[in-house]
Amino acid sequence: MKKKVGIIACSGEKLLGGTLSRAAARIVVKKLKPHDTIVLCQPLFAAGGLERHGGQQERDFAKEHPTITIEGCEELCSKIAVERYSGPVAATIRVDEIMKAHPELKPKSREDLGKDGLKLAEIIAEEIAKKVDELHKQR
Amino acid sequence: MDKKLCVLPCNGIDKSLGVVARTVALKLIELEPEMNLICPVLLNTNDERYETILKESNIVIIDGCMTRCATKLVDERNQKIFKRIFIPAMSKQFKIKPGTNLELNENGQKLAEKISIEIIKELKASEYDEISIEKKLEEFDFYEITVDKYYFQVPKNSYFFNENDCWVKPNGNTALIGISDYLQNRVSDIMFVELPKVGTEIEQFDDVGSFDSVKTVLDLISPCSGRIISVNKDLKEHPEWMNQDPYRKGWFAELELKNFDEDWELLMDGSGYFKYMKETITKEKEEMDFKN
Amino acid sequence: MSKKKGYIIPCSGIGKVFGSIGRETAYIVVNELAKDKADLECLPLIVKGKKEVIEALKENKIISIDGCPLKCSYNNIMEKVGRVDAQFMTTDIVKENRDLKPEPYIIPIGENTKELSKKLAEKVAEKINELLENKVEVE
Repeated sequence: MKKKVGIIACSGEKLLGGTLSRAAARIVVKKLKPHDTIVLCQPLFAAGGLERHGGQQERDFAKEHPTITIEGCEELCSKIAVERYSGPVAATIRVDEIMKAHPELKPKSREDLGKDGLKLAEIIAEEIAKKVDELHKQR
Repeated sequence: MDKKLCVLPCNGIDKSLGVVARTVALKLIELEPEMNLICPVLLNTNDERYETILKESNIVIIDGCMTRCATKLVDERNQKIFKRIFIPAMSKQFKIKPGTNLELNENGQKLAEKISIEIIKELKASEYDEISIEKKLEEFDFYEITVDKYYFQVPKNSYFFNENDCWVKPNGNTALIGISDYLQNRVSDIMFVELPKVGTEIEQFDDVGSFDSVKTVLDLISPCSGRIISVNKDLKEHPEWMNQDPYRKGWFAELELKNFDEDWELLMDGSGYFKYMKETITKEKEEMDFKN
Repeated sequence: MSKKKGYIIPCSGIGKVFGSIGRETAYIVVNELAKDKADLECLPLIVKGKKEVIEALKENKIISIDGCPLKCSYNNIMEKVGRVDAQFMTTDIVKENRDLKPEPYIIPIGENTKELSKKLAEKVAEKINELLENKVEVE
């Protein structure tokens, strides 16, 4: 049986990369791979907490399921958090690298991605969906 | 029976709030010399040393940060908890910020003093409550199922459920009612509640109040008949308790029971409801897969 | 000597609309209501312990905005920095405005969500002005 894949997106607010990461995560989980993926909340993950609805649920899930992190910049905060609290990540998607590969697409701002930004988010989401398929083929 | 107590600080050494935690523990044993101090390092490496003390005692756990090392050491045991202290929250409550220096400043000392005095006050107030604390803990034995990253709990004993995912917990001729963990999960964050009026007569399966979540508005369907004798007014300020603690703090209303001997026949006990809940979850998953 | 600022750190929770309200609120404050007095900071960088970020926060005023009682932003800042000068809960603004129930979707955010964010942004901006004008150190 295929295990669901956890998607953990950058939660940084300062940069465009954060907004793109979150938009891509929602596209994957709601549209492209709704039965194969689930969003893990990065701030909850990092915060942990043993209360109900606390980050421990996110961490436990990541221990038992493959996790893909979507990084908004070179700091790799999501990957570091997952490796610290749960284990190695199955894959990491670098939003900044995908942006470099598509210079023709110019997102409007971190507050409002605009048409180009949403297209870029779709491209990132496709990459994530491909990785999900790869992971399922391996198991 | 003498109340036996012990205190377990996280002993965090690299943060000022961890140092506050440690200082609180030391002040507690100064104020209550009969309290036992548990060393977290020793507990982690050789817990047999504390086996007897922990079995006989209620514990005060003090954590200095979100990692909650002290809590983690205890939560795997079946330990009676008197109090959990989270230093960042206490710092906010007392409006005292100890700063970041590892050598406690005046504020840090003040904070530790206030926290330890508060704990002692609660201890004195609870002298006659020890038995009820133990009873509460006994009741919370759950069936649990994990689906993806969500877990759903159903109390094994004392609770009865209708098919609308609402529970009743009888206690003599009165009972509390509320919603199940499964239902709170389905509706997501509850923002508002409409509580019933005290004095209202209710028949089994009547609507008795409602709650708004970000997703929907739902009525609470009473699992039993009776008269409303009190409501959980705290839910007006803290509707999130219905999500966070649906079987305890999140209780909705209290009834004087009318006909529970008959009402009970149309309800499920813990194990029955757990089975029902699992079947519902499985059906929902299958329907989603079928649609796609 | 550079002027002090108010750094706003939203929790940035991805699972629910309350995280989006916090984010949108922060954008409105930083881009419109307190343009030269406020800035955003990334919560994951704070959790990661990035030195420059922590130092900058220590020297300025810190405002946390959380979307649920777990208070990921507030608690993590308290742990890493030791101080929060003002905290806000997006759930409070929702409770105060029952007729403006936020839509459950987050990309894009709904009209009620935008409206709630504007209301909260006004409160946050007012608080930043207070904090920056007030020369007495908060205990």
